[in-house]
Amino acid sequence: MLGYYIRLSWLSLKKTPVLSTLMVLAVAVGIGSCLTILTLYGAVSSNPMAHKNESIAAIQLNTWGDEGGYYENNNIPVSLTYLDAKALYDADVADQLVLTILAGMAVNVPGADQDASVEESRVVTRDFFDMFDVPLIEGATWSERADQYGEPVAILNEALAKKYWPDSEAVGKSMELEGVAHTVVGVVDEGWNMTPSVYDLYGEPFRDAPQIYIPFFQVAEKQLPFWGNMSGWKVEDIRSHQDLLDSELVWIYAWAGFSSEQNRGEFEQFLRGFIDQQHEQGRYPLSQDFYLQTPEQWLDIFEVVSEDDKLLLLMSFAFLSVCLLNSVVLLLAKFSRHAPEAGVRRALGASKSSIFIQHLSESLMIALLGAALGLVLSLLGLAGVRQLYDNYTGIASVSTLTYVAAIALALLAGVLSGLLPSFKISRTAPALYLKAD
Amino acid sequence: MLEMKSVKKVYRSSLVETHALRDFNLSVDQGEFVAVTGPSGSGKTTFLNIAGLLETFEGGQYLLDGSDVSKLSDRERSQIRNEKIGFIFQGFNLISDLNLFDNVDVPLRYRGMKASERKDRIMSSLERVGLAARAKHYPAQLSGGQQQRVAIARALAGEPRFLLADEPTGNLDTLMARQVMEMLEEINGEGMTIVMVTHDPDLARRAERNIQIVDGQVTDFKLYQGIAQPAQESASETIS
Repeated sequence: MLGYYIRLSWLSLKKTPVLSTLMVLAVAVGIGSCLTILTLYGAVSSNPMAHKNESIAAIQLNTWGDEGGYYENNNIPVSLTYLDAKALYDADVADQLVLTILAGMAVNVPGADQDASVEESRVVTRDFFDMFDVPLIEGATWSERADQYGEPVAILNEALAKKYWPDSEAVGKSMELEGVAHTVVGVVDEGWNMTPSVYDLYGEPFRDAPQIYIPFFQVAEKQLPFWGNMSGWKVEDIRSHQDLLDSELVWIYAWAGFSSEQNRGEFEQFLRGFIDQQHEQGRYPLSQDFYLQTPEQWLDIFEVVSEDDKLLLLMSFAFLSVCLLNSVVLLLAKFSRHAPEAGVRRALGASKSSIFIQHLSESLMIALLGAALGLVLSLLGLAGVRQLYDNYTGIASVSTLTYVAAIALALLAGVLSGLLPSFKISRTAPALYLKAD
Repeated sequence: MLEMKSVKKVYRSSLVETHALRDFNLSVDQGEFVAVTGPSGSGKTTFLNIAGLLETFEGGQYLLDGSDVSKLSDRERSQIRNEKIGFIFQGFNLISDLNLFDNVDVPLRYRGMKASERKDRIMSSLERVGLAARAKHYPAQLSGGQQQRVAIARALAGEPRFLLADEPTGNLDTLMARQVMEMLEEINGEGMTIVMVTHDPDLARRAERNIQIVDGQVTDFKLYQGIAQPAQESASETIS
């Protein structure tokens, strides 16, 4: 019977093309706007590290000495001093330890056709690649020794590698970063871009994928420039790079990874002891707290999903509701003209439920057509967002969520808009419409 | 085959109660051709609607093939309408968007038949009324008489137990009316039970039996043994 109902629905839509078009447009505009917002919201609110929510943690140490407290996020510094970061790294207690900051590197490949350029780079310890599931398509991460001593090695994004070596492997090649020769040891799949960038959410959680990765201790100890944020709570006379490394300024994001609860326990115990020791030496003046935040908590702390985002999502559903209400009114008008035919069908043996399903099928067909058109509108909307906002380039694109939502919204719209009109027409008293006049 | 005992039907509005049928008794046997006449507002249509299970009623009993159909659910009533009753309306009530094939197909669709069986029945019914060649035409492309023949084909396709005809020639000119009436007589001659509501005394006289309804009750009964025989007062046979 479903095929029969679909055929009847199509005939009915063709019979009133203007009304049908209006209904499809009403649903399309509602679903299109809803899909656009949902796609953006889905990307913004997703936790790409959900699968490691229990096994990795962002480290917060409360070194702050200002009684007014740290002024952002959860009122505890979100980054570490170099003193603490280095101590955690050297202690080697956690199974994985990632230290990371943002940097910009002037790139030059002697003899290459391309001009020198400045590329957004990420300065990391080697565990970064494994902890955040960064896919290497060539080579491998640098060695432990290179990690510890900040050796001049680099891992490139596939796009950058192709730019300089389009016809050959980049691994083993040499390039100058800030004038220092680095050897390429690996290449990251250019399709990889974690959004939001859980590993560093400060400022812009929807940044483009880094083009270059270099060992953390190069920047720290060889004075390469970095772009990350830096915060402090006391006046310090910082005149040299070493002064910066010895200061109470916080600027390094740190993550720990644990393969077991026991390892987590050992790390927590280490932190307690370390902080107590530092406190005795005059640091950590106000609090000796530390926090290990899950990726989910980290996203909350940085308010990646803002209240405005939630409000926008609600508004998009409200708009869809208004569109559906319009569709309900139009369907009521359309179906009221079906009453004589429904009366004949009832006389010929159609039950109330048959008439109901027949008309609900028509409403679903309108909603599916509306959803298809809405999907096209959503594609245009997302393209518009990408055009207007550079930082949305990575997330304003159609995802699986968009398609699933399109189908779900179509079914929802079809049922919601068709329920009342279909119910009313199914209650048609057949005898009323069977007389000649 | 069709038996109504003390059936009562009341239409209620906020101001008035209208007794459309009161203590209504009627029995129709298998193979009969019964004409139901009466003045406007007498209850003819109400009787037809109740007989066709298109309306419910308040009191009394309605037996179809010996089964009480008074208290059935909508689904059960729909199923009986679909399987046992064929309708022929004054205004034909064909669906204008469907061609003749699909119009005749409508009752069969609700019976869940296989496509091949439906097709056989549809073509056979259209052949029966002489319109098989026009199966792909639409109702608007036919004359009134042809449309009524399609309606008859639709009613016959489901092989019902009886036909309910409501003024089947009311919208037709004399020639077409005669053709349709002859077709009904032919169908009745093959054993089909027909109950026909009509205003036209000439048509009524062509039925085997004539029931007159006045004020919601059967008041007169005339038995004809052929065409246009004189009326006889013998209501006692069927009125309890």
